[in-house]
Amino acid sequence: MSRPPDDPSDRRRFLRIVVQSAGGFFFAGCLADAEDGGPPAPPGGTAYDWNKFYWAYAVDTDRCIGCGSCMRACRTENLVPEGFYRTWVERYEIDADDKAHVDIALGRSASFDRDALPPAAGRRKAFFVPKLCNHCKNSVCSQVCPVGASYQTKDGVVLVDEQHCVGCAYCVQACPYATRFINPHKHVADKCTFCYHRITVGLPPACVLVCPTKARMYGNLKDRKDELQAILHRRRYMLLKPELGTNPKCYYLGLDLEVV
Amino acid sequence: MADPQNRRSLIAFVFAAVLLATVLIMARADALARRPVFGLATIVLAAAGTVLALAVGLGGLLAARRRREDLSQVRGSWSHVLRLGVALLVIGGAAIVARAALVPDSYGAYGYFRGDAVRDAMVARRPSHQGRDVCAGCHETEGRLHAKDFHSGIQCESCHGAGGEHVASVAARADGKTEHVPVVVPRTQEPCLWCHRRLAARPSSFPQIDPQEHLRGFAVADLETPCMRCHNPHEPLFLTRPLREARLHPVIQQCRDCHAGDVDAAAPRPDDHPVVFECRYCHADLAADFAGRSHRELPCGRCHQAHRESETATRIVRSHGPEFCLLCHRDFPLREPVGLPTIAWPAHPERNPQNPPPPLPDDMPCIDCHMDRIHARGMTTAAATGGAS
Repeated sequence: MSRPPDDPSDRRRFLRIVVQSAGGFFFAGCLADAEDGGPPAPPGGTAYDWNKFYWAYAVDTDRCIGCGSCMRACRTENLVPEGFYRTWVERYEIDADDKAHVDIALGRSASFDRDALPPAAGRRKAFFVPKLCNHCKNSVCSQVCPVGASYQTKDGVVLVDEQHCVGCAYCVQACPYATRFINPHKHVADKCTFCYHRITVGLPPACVLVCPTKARMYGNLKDRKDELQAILHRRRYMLLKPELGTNPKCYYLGLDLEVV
Repeated sequence: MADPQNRRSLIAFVFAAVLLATVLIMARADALARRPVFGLATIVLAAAGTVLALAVGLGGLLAARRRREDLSQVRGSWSHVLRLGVALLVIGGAAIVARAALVPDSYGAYGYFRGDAVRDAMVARRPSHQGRDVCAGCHETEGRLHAKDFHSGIQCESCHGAGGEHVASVAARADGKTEHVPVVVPRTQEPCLWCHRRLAARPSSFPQIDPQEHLRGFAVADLETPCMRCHNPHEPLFLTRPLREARLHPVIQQCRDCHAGDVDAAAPRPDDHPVVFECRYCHADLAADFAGRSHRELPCGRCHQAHRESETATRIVRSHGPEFCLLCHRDFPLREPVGLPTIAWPAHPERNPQNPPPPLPDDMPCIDCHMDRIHARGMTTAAATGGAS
C-alpha cells in the first residue's frame, strides 16, 4: 500500500479542519459573551441595580473658583496618598502674547495663594479647569490592561481591580488624560472611582458634594428626568481630546480652546 | 475508506474533534461552577462530540480491516500521531488545571474582568463625607442658622472636612473608650481664603478680597486677624440684605450676643428686626463733624454700605479714582438737573483759572482735595464694643 508523502488535497483538508476548530473556539467564546450574569449581588442588603444607571460627570468651568475643596475631599474620602491626585484643578492664565501658563495648586491645602502671572505680563484672561478621570466609554486604559484588572462596569464607571492589578503601569501610560498613577503603598494602579462606594448607595461623589459653586455635577444618563441630562440638553459642552475617540463621559461646559 | 488519504484525514478529524472538545471544556470549566445546568450541557455536548469523532475514526479502521488491508501499515502510520495526541492531551489537561487554579471564579461574569471586583469596589470603604443633613441631625442650631445664611448652599464638610471619623467617634463614645474626634476649622484666614482670596482666575462675580487691603479698610491693626472675628461663618448675618438695612453692626457676631435663648423665638423674621444701632452711637465725633458739612443730608449708608468690603470707603480708596464721587456729581449733558453741584469730568481741573492746571493724575480720588466737604478723616471705634452690650 502506497502512501503519497505529500498530497496538496490532504493539506487543504487539514486546513479546513483547523479552520472549523477555530470556528468552534469562536462559538464557545460567543457563549461566554452571551451569558451576562446581571448586576452584582447587593452588598450588605442595599439594593443597587446597575442596569438602571449609566453615570456621567459634568464640569462647569465658568463656575469653578479654584478653591480646592474637591481635591481635599477626594483625598480624605478615598485615602489618596500624599503627593498624588485623583482629581485636581488646573489654572490657566493667558498672557499678552496669547501664551497659556498652566499651574496646579498642590499640597494638603490645595489652594492657590497668588496669581500665577505678574501684572506686567498683561493677563488677557484666566480661569480654572477641574480635571478627573473621564470614565471614557471607549476606555484606553482598560483595553491595554494585560490581566483584566482595569475594566468598565455596566453602569459606565472605569475601575481598577486592586487584587489582580500587577502594577505594570501600562494603563498609566495609555490614559490620554493622565488621571492614573501607581499607588506607592499598594503598588497597583490607582484612579478616580467616581466614588463607586458612594454612588451605589445613593450618595453623590465627594467632590460633587463639597463643591461650593456647583461647578461639579454628576448624573445618570439612563434616567430621562435626571438633572444632568437637562443641563446637557440646555447648555453647550465640549469634551477633552475628542479626536482620540475615547468618548469621555465627563462633559465640560464653557471649556476654553487652550485646555488640553 | 480504502485509500490511505482518506484514512489519514480521518485520523486528523479525530484529533481535531478531541481538540475542539478540550477547548469547549476549558471555555465552560468555570461556567460549570456558576451555572451547573449550562456547564453540564456543554460538557455532555463536548463528550458526545468526542465519542462521535472516535466512532467515526474506529469505523474507518474497521472498514479498512474488512477490506483486508495491511493493518500493520496503518498501525505504523498511527504511532507518531498517537504520541502527538497524548502530548496534546497532557498539555490540554495541564492548561485546564492551571486555568482553574489561576483564573478567579467570577472572571468573565460581566466582561473581561473579575466579576467580584465590582462588589469589592462598592464596599471598598464606608462613605466618609456625611452631607449636611447628617451634621444638622446633631448640630441643630448651626444647621438652622446655616440654612438661612448666605452660605446655605454649601456643605458643612466643604470647610470642616469629612465628618466620617467624627460621626463614628461620637457614635462609639457611649462605651467611653473611644476618643472624640473633633471636626474644627482652624481659626485663621486660610479656610475662608480658599474661596474668597482675590485671584485673577476667579469669576469676577464671586466675592473676593485681598486680605491686607480688606483689613486696612477696616482699620484693623493685625493683618492676621481671623475672618471669624467679624464674620460668624454659620451666620454672617450682616452680609444679608434685610439685616443690613436694619443696621445691625458688624461687631455683633451672632444673634445670641443679644438674644439669650432661642433666637428664632426672639426674632422670628429678620426683615422685621428693629434698628438697633445708629452710626452715631459709636462714631459720635464723626457724626457731629459730618453734621456741620455740606453732605449732612445724606445717610451714612449712602456711601458706607454697612461695611461690605466692595461698597465702603475701602472702595473709594482702592479704586484710586474719582468714579465714586462722580456717580452723583458728574455732569452728563442730557441729564435732568437734580440740584447737585456737577462737574464736567475730565475737564474739571482746568475750570479754576486761579489754580493753574496741575498735573492731576486721572486716578486721583476727589477726596484727596475735597474731604473737607464730607467729614474728618479717620474712624472712631473706641465705643464700638461698649455700645453693643
